[in-house]
Amino acid sequence: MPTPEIDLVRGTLDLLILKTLSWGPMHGLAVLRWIEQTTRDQLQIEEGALYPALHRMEEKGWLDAEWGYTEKNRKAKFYRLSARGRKQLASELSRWAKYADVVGLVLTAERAAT
Amino acid sequence: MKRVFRLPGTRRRADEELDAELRFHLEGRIEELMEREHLTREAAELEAKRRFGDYDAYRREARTIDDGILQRRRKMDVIETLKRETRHAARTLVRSPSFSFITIVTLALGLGAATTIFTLLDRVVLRPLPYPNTERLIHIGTLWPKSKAGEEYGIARGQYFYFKNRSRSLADIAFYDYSILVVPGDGDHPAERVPEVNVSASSFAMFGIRPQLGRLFTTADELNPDGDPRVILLSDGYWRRRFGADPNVIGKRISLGERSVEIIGVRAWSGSTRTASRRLGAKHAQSERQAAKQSHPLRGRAAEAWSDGARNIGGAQADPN
Repeated sequence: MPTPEIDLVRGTLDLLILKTLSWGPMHGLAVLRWIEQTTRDQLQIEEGALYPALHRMEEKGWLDAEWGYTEKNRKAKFYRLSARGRKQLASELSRWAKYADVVGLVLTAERAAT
Repeated sequence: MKRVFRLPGTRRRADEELDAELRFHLEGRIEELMEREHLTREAAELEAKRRFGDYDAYRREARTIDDGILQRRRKMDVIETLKRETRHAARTLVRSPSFSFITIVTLALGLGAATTIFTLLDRVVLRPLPYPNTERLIHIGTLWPKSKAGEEYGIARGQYFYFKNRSRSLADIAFYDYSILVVPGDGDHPAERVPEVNVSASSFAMFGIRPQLGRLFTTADELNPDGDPRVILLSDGYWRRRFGADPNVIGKRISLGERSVEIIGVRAWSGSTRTASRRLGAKHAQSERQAAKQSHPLRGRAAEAWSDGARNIGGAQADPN
């Protein structure tokens, strides 16, 4: 098993979950697997942290939760992005991009202005 | 994906669902680890638990959030139910208009009757005095407990001025004195005995009396060197009966034999002063034990005063208006 390399920055988990769920309804484990696959296991997430995050987003109305069956015919709780969640995703994405831009400006500056 | 289970409505159910959700996760991980990494069941369980982190802490955290969701859902349920029931009621009423009509009329009559009775009670029992600020009105009288036990008398004019000038806890003080005026006959009217009230100018503001014609008394009218009033204010009833509601009555004089009084105004009709005063007397009788048995505030002279209550004691005299 490869060693995960990057610790998750606080508050980023929500954005990752929102983005992942934008592909369609998933249960918690599927969300994790998706993140693992797309990051090639480079991201360290304590898996339990996913559930308070999912429930909190459900409470905020970003996610709708429903019980359904997996392809292996097991009962699981599926989360789906709500309209509000979609809006939230859009605004978080633009905030993230801005943040990355600003941090990037500082980190790529060649020398301090005198 | 169709919804196969109801949303949790109770804490217990929410608990069960949370456990099922977390169990599903761990179980899925364990199977995956056994399958892909060929771990034994025990090793896979340990690894899944390690990856999950502090199970109890995460469970507790999610549990707290679920409580919030549950509470809000319950509130929404109540609102939804109300909406649904209201719609249902409205539809039912529309569907059977005659029943609705009878129901509404029944309710309206019932409410109307209750309101009417309350209004009556309110006027007669609860709020018997037709004066402004009745809660601040007090009655000043004289008691002679040794010689005339149980009887209450009014105060002398001198006392009235004494109180008026010296009192600091009264906003204003008014004086009234009932008597009978004998009006001699003229060509059109026979002689008659008319109830009259001698009042101080301050009583009008105190009892909210307004003129419908002419003016009210002023303090200047109170100064009568010979002690007899020189001006008179007619009641609405007397003005109509004796003067045929003549709008030019102001300035005319009523001859009282050896003297005459000038008519300066006509009071607006506002119920009977006498009745109201009698009620006021009765009210005081209730509150003053010594005068409880027989109270005659209407005989002799009495004064009503406006109390500012404890707040203004020691302060300056306030204008009652």
